[in-house]
Amino acid sequence: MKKGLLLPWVYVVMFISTMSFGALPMNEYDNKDDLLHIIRDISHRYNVHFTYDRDIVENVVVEEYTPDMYRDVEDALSDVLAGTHLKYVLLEMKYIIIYQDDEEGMRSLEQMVEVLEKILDQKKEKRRVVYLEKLESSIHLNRLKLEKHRIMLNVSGTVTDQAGEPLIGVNVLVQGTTMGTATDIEGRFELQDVNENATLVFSYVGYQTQEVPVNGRSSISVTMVEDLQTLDEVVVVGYGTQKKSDLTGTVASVGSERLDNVPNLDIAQAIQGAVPGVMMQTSSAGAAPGEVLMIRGRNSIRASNDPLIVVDGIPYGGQLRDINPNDVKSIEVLKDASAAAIYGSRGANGVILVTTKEGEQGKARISYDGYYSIQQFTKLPELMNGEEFYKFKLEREPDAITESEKRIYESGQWVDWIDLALRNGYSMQHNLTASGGFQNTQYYISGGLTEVQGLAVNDNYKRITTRINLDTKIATWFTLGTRTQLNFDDRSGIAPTWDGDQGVFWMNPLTRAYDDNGDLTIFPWDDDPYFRNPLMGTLADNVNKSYQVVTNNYAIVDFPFIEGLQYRLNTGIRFRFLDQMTYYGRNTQVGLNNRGDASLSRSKNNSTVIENILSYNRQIGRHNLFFTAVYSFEDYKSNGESLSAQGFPHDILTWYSAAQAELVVPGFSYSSTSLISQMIRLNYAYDSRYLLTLTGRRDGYSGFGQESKWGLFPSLALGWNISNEGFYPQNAVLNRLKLRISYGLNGNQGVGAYETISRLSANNLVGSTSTLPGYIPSRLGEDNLGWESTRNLNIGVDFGFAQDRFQGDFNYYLSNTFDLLLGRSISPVHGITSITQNIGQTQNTGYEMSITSRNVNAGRFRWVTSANAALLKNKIVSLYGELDEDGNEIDDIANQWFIGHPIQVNFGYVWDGVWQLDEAEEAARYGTQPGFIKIKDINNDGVISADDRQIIGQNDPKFMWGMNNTWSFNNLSLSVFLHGVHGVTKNNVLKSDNVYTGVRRNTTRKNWWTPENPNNEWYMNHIDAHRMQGVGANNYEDASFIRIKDISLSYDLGRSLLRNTGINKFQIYLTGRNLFTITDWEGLDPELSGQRNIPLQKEFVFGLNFGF
Amino acid sequence: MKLIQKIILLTSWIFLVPGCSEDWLNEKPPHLITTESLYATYEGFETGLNGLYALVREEREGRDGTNYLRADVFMNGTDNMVTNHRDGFSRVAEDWVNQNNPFNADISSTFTWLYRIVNSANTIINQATSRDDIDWRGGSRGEIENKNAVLAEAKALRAWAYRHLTFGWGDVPLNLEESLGSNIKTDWTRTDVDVVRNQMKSDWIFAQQHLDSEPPIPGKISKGAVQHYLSELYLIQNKPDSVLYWADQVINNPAYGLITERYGVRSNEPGVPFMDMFYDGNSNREEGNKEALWVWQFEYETIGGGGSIMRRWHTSRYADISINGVRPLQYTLERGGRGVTRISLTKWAIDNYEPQDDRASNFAIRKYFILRDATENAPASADRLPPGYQYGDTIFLKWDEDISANSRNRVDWPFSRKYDSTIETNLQEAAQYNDQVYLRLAETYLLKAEAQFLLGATEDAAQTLNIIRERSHASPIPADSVNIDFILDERSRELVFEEHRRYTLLRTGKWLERVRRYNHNGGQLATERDRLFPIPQSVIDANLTEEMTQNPGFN
Repeated sequence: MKKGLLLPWVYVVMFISTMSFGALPMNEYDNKDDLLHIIRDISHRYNVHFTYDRDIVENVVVEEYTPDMYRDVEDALSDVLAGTHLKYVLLEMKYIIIYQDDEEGMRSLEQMVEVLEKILDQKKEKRRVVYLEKLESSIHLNRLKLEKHRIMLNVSGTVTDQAGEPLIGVNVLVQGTTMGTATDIEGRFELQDVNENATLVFSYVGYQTQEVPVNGRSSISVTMVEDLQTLDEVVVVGYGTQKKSDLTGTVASVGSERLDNVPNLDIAQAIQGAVPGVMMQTSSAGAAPGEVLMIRGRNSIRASNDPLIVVDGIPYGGQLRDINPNDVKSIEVLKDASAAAIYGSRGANGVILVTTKEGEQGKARISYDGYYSIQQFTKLPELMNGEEFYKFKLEREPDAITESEKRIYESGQWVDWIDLALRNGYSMQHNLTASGGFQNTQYYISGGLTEVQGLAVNDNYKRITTRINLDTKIATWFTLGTRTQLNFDDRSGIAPTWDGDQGVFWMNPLTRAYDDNGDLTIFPWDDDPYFRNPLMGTLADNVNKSYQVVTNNYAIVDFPFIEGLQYRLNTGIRFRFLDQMTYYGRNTQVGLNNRGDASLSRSKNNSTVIENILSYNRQIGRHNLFFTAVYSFEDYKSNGESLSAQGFPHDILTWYSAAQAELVVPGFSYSSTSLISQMIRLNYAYDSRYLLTLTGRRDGYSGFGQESKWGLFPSLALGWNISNEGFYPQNAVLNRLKLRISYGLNGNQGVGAYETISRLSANNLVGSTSTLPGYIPSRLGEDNLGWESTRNLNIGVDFGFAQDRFQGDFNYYLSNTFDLLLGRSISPVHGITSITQNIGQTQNTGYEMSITSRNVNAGRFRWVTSANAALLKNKIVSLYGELDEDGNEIDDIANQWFIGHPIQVNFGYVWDGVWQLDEAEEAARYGTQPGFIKIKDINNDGVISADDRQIIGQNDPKFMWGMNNTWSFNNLSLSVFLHGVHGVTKNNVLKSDNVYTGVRRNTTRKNWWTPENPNNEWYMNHIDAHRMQGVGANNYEDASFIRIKDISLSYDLGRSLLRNTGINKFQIYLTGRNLFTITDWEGLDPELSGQRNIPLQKEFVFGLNFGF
Repeated sequence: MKLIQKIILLTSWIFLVPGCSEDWLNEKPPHLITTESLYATYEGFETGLNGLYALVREEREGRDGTNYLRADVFMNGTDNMVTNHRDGFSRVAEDWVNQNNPFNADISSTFTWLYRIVNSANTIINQATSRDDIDWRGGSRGEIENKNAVLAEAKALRAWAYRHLTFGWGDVPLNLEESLGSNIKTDWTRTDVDVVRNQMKSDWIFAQQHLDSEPPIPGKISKGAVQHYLSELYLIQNKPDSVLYWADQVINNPAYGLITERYGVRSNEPGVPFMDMFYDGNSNREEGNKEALWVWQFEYETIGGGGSIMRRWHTSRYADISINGVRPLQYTLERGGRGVTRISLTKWAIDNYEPQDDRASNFAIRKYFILRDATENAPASADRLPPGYQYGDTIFLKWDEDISANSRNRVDWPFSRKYDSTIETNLQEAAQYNDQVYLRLAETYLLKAEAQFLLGATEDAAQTLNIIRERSHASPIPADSVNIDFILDERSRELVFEEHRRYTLLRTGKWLERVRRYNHNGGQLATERDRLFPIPQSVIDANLTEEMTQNPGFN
């Protein structure tokens, strides 16, 4: 125990010249003769501090106290203490120790003097002036202003982590004041003039915040406990926050380990695998990858399954990647009806709440976070090279070989198009943050730069973000704040074409990429001018930039006379401007054919949100009441102009000379939707044991039919903290147990504007040489189109074992989505092939579990595992309600929707291998021959007909999991994150031998059947080998995978090394992303939706954080 | 307390406001057009018809934005057109057994396209007849005339779509309603083909009453074209008297006449009268083409200009002809631009002429090329000279061995020059933008001859046929030479790569016989069932509550 630690019986009393609560006004002294009162009075009168043991002072009666008669403080004290057994010592004319005149008293005096001297020494150091002479007390008294000034003591101490290591940069704040500091590199802090009764708040990212009462101590040591989803963590729940223990709904938080020290380009990457039941799929790779988010499976067949994203309380309609992940403090996912019901019409697909960082009281902190990464492709398919392609073609269609192919084959100078289209990528990110607080204002200001050079040539991405988060308390009852984000996004540059018949994956290798001058060829295949150079885009002039402002400003009124009543006005504005321009000159096929080809488009998106939120939050005895009412208004508008021009006089001025082009086609787009919502929520908790949440929301959306614009979405949730019950055993292994159940209705507005309106689209004609504007019917409207609704039941258990050493939760849910917004295929006889209607029903059931375990917590070595898993089952319950003769509902084969089966299934003929030589006879009966594809005759009727089509697996996963392990030893920490997705079957299109007539595109190298090599793996190389009786079968493969998503090794230089540098944090890390994948999938990557596209990258990252 | 009152007020405001904001949720799209707003005036109907014509014009364009020619479906797989290079529907014509199936994209796309036309026409007809708030004023005609003219065009084109549908699929659902969100059907049934044809008849009879012989705007269907279709319809229904009646309505109309003399843009260059009407600048009636009954309009770099790919689909890949490792021929204006030879003339079709027949001359069917220098080829560059060749030398195309499965992708095969046309500024251009004769009087004569033959008036039939033959310097034929095969031969000589040959052969019951005989790449594999296309599986699958029968022979 440190020397300065105060003995418990010591009080340092501070007196305030004027009693702030008006209990004892100075001039109304009532002549009580009790010593305590007298001491207090002297303290007021002479502006001095007393230190004493309360036991010896209490109950001492002073015979006479005549305050106006004394010369000075010593005179007063001598007189007062004369008749007692007490003595005093005066130090620096300001500090008075009262002690008992015996041996014990002397001992305590020594200690008290020591304490006081320490304080005085510190003050001396600071003031560099020492007063030891006695003051002329009368003068002193006259000068003394009886001000409202707390005279306090200094508090210092050390903050360490559980391993006993000092923590640097811990925020130490005096509760209820703006006074605060941060620990230095040795974990020490010092606060001056702290009220003895004050409470210090210690907070540090990743650790539980602690409140420590000073209790008169001048030295306080604190051990911070790591924050592993602590019980009393405050969780953002939408239109407010709640203690985790009070939650009734299913709200999952993304662990901070997924947000820090991982090279996330956007927050979706942080969510992947981190929350059970949330699917994040990288649908396309590249500098700015495409991502799909889905919570608890696919509810909707045709409407969107995207969750609602809410940033700092305001629905966010922008791109996720415009939010700098470095600015994000927390991500919460609302999964069940109760949690999401507050977002009513848009809650059915779940809600993701993103909260950005804010400043904290205390001195300004500046920090830098940055990383640099090298990117390489994970896997490439094996396409045939020129020689193999030539032989393949020779075998398949020898007369289709053209002169130039032959020439190139003979010269050996064929092209590896993929190799030309790829390069080594890199990405880097730099973030600079300044945050802090003064007086009644807190600020967080950050700037970030992200630059990615993707794996594909000319595929670049640059993002600059700025965030200004400010909160200021103008009056005790009035707070103003802003969450403002500015960003610039630059995707200029066109990458090579990957997919399609002009793409690198399909391009004939027996071609030329460069001409004799070293320029990219316009027509790489001399004999087939249909083909253009897949790298053509790299020659185009291209601008693709967007500019966005997202500003959410709010005002909070805390009604002074009703405790807990608050009104909050949120006003959010998002404005995004997108500017795209492309020009293909005559050095490209498109530009040459069109004599210059320009396309320009500019679009503006803006949304406005106004929310009025009234809340009442009050603890009355054992009753905790939290009532919220919202009235909100949202408006979204987008409009754009475009211009395409062809036939330019020259290439010099690119699109700038569009006015001189021969064909100039302008275009305009417009969309506007509005949403009006009303919401009421009541959260009630009794004694932290019984919890209730009632929610109702009513929404009106402009996109729906005249009679069906409004929808009502109620929900109910109950919670029971069993472990808080009196009967619950105190020392149970299962130390925490909570049951939750919720049921409610959510909506999916799912459709854009104008879906209910039948309309025509332009289809123009010419008469002679002039344009004749024309229209044809293009969409069928549905007057009573309305909400798609989801009824959702959730049963959950939260638990903690062994004093929360293991903690986690388990959820079961059942959701029924009905009145689906179905873009249903209708008979082509209508002349229009689809219509959106409210029909059908789907069901999702699932089990989700997450657990965090502190496996080892032995001092310097720690090992924490957090894992989650979700099992989900999805099926179509009903479609149009049309029954067959047996009373079973009819499937919709045209759309490949089957009752009782998942929404997205594969459907087609079953590939059953290859007809072998000894099966020639049977093959002949089907009109085919050995070496050709064998398609399963399911009904064995001797012909392959539509009835032989089967459901072959599903496209959405059945099981997903994520697991993070962190091992740390002293300053070194290693974490490994695994992600698994199972039960997915997809068509691997990459292998297809559909090389066009005349073998005009490439395919992968395969083990083709030949009479000499009669295998069952792949049919022979023959123009008709992939069909049997005119039909073909897809190559379905299991696209399940387990991926080591991230491995991160970090080292905190901290502590000893940074001494005297002024830097209080310095951390470096190395991260590897997508390093290994285990899968049976033989395509590009099981996660990517397009298999002929930019391959997924693996990254090696070096990162650095420091702050001062 | 005052404040409490304020809070109550505020709360009630939150929940009462929506009452007055209902209107705020009403959609008022400024950029969308609805049938309600468009079909309120005569001009609106005109734009509806324009859209309909643009849909119809797709026949000579690529389907669904591809370069697969729609017209291939009605022309290839016959005695005079054969798959030279598989692509699009040409796969079917080469491999009927396997490719003519309910999943074939070309067949189902054609079906859908035709019903799109039907629905567009139905919408115009329904709006014009059921609404009483339409302002029919406009142009020089009266309101009743305007309305009838609109109905006439819409009905003519609807029947035109059903002509394709009935030839293609036989019994088809007869849809005469405007499709609405409220009348979606899952129980379509196939209407007997005769009932459908009677509907076509009544549409066309109405239409021809109200259409002009000279359409007011180039590109619109004429009275003559509709009467021509009526005469063909009566041939199908085996009523030769009526055929004669309607054919004569056209033939005797002074607005129409055969082109027998050179005229127009190339009249000073060597050529034959027969080919003049196919040249850009000559095809329209306004340009002197009296023979035209219906001329389709295309325009380069013009909104609504479309783009035909007839030449692309048919013209040989002559630039790929290789002589001793040299590919001498450039794409030039005179050569008509670039082709990809998906379908070619059969050997029979090339050999179907007397030597002096203009329709077999190198002006009509390209049989040789002459090597040109840079001046002659301008703006293209000079031809490349193979060893031993010089400018002025001739390169002959070869057709001694017919196209077959083992001998296709022929780049040196003769081709019809009816669609020679390209853009001077882009000789690589896939599409062509010249106006094209879609229906002409010569075919009406041939329908008439067929009717005369069916009536036993072979003398008259010979006389009618000789009018056509005479124009092209073919020798006159005697009455005893006239039989159905001769008429089909003559039709091929006159109309190859113009008429819907498949329909002509089906109508005369000669398709299977003649395709097997003259088409050696797939024709020999055609079967009885292939006389109809299969109903697309998507149509069968979407008919949830009523089984839609498939055509016989299809799985």
